[in-house]
Amino acid sequence: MANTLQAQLVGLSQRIYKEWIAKTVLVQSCDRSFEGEFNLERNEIDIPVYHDLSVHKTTLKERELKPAPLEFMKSSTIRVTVDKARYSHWGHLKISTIVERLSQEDSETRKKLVNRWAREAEDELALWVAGLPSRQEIDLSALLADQTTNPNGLLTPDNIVLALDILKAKIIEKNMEVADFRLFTSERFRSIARDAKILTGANLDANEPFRKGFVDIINGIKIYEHECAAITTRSASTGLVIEETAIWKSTDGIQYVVPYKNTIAYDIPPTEVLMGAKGYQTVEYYDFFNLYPTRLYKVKIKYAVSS
Amino acid sequence: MEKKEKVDSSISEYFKDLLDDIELDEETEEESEEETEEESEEETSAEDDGGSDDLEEESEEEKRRREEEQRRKNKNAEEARKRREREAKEKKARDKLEEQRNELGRQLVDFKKKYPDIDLAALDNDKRFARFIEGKLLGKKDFTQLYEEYVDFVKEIGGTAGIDIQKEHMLKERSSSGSSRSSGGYVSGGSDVYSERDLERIAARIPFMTEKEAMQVLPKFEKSIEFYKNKK
Repeated sequence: MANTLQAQLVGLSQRIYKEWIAKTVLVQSCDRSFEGEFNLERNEIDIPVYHDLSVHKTTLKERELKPAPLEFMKSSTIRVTVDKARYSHWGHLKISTIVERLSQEDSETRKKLVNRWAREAEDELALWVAGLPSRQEIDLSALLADQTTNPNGLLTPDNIVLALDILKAKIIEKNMEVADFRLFTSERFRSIARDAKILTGANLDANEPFRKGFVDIINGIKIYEHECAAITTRSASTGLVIEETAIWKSTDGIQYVVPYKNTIAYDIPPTEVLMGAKGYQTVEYYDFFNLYPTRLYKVKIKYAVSS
Repeated sequence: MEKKEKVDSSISEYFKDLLDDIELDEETEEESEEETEEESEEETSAEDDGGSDDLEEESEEEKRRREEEQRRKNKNAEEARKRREREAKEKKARDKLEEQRNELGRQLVDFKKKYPDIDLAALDNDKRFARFIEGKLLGKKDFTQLYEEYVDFVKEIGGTAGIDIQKEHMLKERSSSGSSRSSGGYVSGGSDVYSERDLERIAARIPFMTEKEAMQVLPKFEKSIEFYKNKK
């Protein structure tokens, strides 16, 4: 093999991707499938489109005489332009050193990179959801507000079930399945559920407990806990979350694609390093899309400063 | 018109010798038709000789000329009909042969899916296997079933020899053992090591792979890299 080290770096890039994805909650919950090969020149990739089948109604006689027009799925994919990239430079110029540092099973260097990328990806995605237009917002603080007992619309153990009912109703009114959706919240939501004594710990789906962030199924809703500081506001004194943007989404609510992962060499000019050299960077091209706005919501929740 | 499914022509090349020789049958039919035509021509000429005594009267001559012309026309029509029939038969035979080759190709593709390690070229050259499947190809059992029957049969006859038989048909790249290096860039590091060429090809593809695809190749890929590193 002419260059086993270079090949090793390629494998390591995939390994890094696999490891950082496993550390995420939000990113992991997205649809990450794509088809074909990433076009490096045009930055394009095909991602799946989940069609809705139409149902025609007729009488049996009419159906025999006049069948409904043929409907071919025009395309099961849509071509999107990938516009984001993340990369980390390696502070070594020798490829053998980089490979050695990254390939060990308990490599601290790799662990650091993986943690950093997971955190950055989670925060970026969470902030993007928080910036969705108001038509994709469910403001629980407004919906739970009661001028006499709860003027600020805080989420409390007394109204948490009502809050979850509202979320379910928003889905049902659009003829969608509540079971397709998951709620991503901060740890404060778990505390409220615990205080309301509705955190049962009874898992209806045997697979869910093994997914990172899974809390419980409460009132028929799968609750996940994320750690995105970017979409929470904390009390200056207690540190408890007093306001947050929760995320109420289905898997296909966000399509998150990472169609290219590699570790590549680049030239470092003599102005940077004496006589110039080759540097290395691990790079990933990625982007995320919301093709179905009705399947992704941001949920405004407010909590009391102290429980 | 029915659309015929095309199968990779390279795979269809194997075992084609064992298919029915339809073209040969057709030639035989053509020959017999030609013989029939010749016979009818001879009969016609014999009739002509017998009627040559009464040529003196003009009306008789005219009548004979007309008959002659009619006979010629009939003969031409008959020849055209036979030619059309012959062409139709040829086309039918060609279609049948193509269909057979496609069917065999499909069966061989299915066989490769089930036995990816078996080298079809080695199997094609195995005279014992050829004798075993002669007359059975494209019959009630498909190629995979015939091969399995053959291996079972060899096992029954020769004990563990059946396993050796399968080894004989294995792709050279996978079946060879030890650390000797074969020609063409392929190495024999066991079935869990990619060849150098494959390793380079896969290394170029990995950055573009989905998680699922990558997980399928990475264990063997990493093992292969270790193998080549240790070889240096």
